[in-house]
Amino acid sequence: MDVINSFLQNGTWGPFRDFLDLMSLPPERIKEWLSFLIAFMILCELTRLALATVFTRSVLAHVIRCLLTFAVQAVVLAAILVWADYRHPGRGWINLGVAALMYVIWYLAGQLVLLARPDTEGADLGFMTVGALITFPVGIIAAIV
Amino acid sequence: MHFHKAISVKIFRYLCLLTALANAGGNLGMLLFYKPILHLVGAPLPKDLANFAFVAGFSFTVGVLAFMVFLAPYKTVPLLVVGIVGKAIYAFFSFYFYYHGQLHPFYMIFGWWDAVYTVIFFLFLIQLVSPDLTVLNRGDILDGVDRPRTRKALFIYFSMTGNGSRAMKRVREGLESRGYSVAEKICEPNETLFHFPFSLLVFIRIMLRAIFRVPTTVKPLDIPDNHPYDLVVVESQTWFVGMSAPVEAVFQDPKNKGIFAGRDVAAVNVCRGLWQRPQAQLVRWLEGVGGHMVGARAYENPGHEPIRCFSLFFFLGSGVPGKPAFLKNILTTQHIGPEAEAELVTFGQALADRKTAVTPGVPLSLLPHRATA
Repeated sequence: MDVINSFLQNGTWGPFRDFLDLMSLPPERIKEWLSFLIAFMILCELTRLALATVFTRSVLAHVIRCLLTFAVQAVVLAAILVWADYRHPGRGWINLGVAALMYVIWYLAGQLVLLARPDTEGADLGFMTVGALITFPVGIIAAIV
Repeated sequence: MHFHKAISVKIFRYLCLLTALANAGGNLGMLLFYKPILHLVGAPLPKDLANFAFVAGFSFTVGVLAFMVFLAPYKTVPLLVVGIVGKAIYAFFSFYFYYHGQLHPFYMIFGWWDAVYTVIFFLFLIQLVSPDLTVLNRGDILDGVDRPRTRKALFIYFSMTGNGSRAMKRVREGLESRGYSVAEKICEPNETLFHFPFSLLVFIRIMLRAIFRVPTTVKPLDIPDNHPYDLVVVESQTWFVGMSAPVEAVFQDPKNKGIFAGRDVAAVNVCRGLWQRPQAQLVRWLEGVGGHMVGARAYENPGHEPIRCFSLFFFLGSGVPGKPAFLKNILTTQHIGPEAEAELVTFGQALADRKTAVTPGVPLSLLPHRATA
């Protein structure tokens, strides 16, 4: 029992707490969260496009691709905008600009794939706009309230 | 669909060779000369030499992996996935510890290198997977199976809003202009759910089922295994990033396997914009039931995004095109354009004129390439 207690007590949530702090977009750590968000948007889009032609009967692959079409990115960005405004009030409008930049990165990542494969969809500006209709109203409300 | 120029496999291969040399050679160099190198760049000596050696060894392994991809890219696709994960994690931790002041800026050369290569590997992966679909989308018509031609074709499809039947009408036109007769079998779902126009609730049900790939069933097609058709063309729309449930139901019923087994088959996809996965699903099903792929075409509805996407939502919501009336001038059409229709006529003609295979499924012009792939 002592071994288990010791094991649990010496564990750490440090990296996760730090990550949550980072996702509040603190002004003193701009380079960090900007790098992370850019990587997140690029990886989501590349994963979506990589799943286009493979695992065609996999429900999991299909659900992941559906979610990555717009929902994951849009909801995550919306949640970050709310969290960031809660932790650092007064930066709501700046953070909306950051979110807009992430949408540009998202689009560019999708279009980048056109360089690699001659028969691909590239970025889906239509569903990205649907995503924007989730992210930005939430962000605007967070900035105003 | 748009078929554009892309970076060649050769360039991606040489990029793999570059990182193979950098990873394998660089890490060997680091292990041998870490003292003078770190002194030169002003970085401190590693506190934990064992861990330093472990990381260098791991990075060397990724170099070997990249070299194997360089040697035989089409045979080492899963290695690229491992490379993506490895390089992404390495880049992530490099940035993380650098920002926390625990890593000398010198090591960020490797962090940036791996971040860039994560993207390069991803792009190469996307290029390498399903190369047969690229051949089909290029417009090639593959040679058919070596069996007597009856000049009879069978169409199997399900069209809820009429876009699919419009497309198939054009393929039929092409086939008939080359002496084919065409019979059609429309999939009739056993569930009444799949109808149009529909209510919001029905739309949500269809959407959720499409996302989670919940199967449905269709009424028996009543086509015997020894049917007279030498060509079977199947059409499917995109329903939430995947092929439509009633068409998939045809393949999910083992009784229908004989319709396709050993026959020339072709795929047609029409949609708002996301055609790639539904096409791959349809082609893989056709191959899975023993069909011999000879051609595939996918077309998007005309118009620019995002209005094309919202035009579709308005159409699905109202049940008629051009609604709401005050947006009539900017809403896009809900069917493929004249250019696509003309191409589908040509597609039908090309299918009718397809050659008989020497090597089934592979046009002669592609044989040397396929041999190395």
